[in-house]
Amino acid sequence: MIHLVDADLQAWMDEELDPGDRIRVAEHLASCADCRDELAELRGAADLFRDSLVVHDEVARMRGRSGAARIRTARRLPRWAGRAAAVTLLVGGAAAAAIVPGSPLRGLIVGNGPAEIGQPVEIVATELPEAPGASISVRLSAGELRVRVREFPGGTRIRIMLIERPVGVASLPHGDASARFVVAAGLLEVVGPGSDGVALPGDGVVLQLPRRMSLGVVEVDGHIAARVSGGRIEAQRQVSDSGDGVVIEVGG
Amino acid sequence: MDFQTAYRELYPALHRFALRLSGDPDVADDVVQEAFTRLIDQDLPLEEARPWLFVVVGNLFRDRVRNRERRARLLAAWPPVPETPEAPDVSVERAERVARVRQALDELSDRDRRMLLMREEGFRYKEIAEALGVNPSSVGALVARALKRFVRAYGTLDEADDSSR
Repeated sequence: MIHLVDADLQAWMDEELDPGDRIRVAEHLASCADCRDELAELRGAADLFRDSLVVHDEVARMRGRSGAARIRTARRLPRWAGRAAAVTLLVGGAAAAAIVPGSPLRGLIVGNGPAEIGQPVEIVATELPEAPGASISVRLSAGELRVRVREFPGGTRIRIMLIERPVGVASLPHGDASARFVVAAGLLEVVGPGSDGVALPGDGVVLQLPRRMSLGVVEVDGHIAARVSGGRIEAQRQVSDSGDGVVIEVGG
Repeated sequence: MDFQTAYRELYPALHRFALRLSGDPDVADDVVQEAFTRLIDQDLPLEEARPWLFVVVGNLFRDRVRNRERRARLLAAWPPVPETPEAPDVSVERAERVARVRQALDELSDRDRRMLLMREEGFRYKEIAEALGVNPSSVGALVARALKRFVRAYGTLDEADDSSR
């Protein structure tokens, strides 16, 4: 099979193809998973670029006018401050070397680096008193986002929500610790602690996943509990459907 | 063309474009003002003024960068003047992210940067091609390649940032 080239995919995305080419590309995409993946990667790159510009514009304007303007004081470590090392990002085996003295943020987010598909990037929750081995890990695997929830007590609720924002959130029960991450174009990047002001409803684990990501899987203790695809969640053993997401239970 | 109408309708997007090119609101103000000043001497309908202004802003910024680099070379022997301290209460996380975005943008070629930013402003491939002097049929491939370069630069910068600490 002859695959589509980037020029076709980009023009498809930007609606720049003439009607004949549009049909040709649509027919190919319908039957070719490789080209759909490539399209998703380009779309992710465009999303990352656009999202980056939004952040850039906002801060550039605030910094402006020769430094005369000032930004309001930000809480740097909203929920993590009292729970040092509650959430740790591990990047490969070199995690410990990446801790930066003097940076409270870096002290908690070890690494904070982007990773290509297949690299072992994880957010690991530790030191949860009622479940010392509990963890949430987020990684890219074969082009899909794979969220693994492990060793939480039976009955722990996991709320999975799809959000319009490009930044996902993984949060421990009670919102005690959380991490935000961006998924785009073969890139998983933890962008910081906290939920950035987004309300995290209810108890239990909360996973807020960007609706625009192409594929996602939520595993609970080694079993697939939910799949995210095409902007929808398909959950196994669903406890409830709250309208803005689904709730499943550990051991349910 | 009614200049006031052109100014009112085109200024926001043009200033945004200039701000993204330069990262500096003062520079953006200057180049956009200069571009509109030059527009007065042109006799262009509004639909032609829009791409014309973006090209002029891009060229003015490019000239500024060249002048800055030339001045930097001339001043290389002099001790650096301390930078204006950054607003102390910008969150560390946000400031780092923006710095990386800025660096990734700066790593793109002038053509790639302008191409992506014009695309963000809603220009069609034909307009981008005319503004940048490339073949319209190659814009799709060039945009895709530039986006991938941005993602790669953004990721590489972060890795370099971590390893240098």
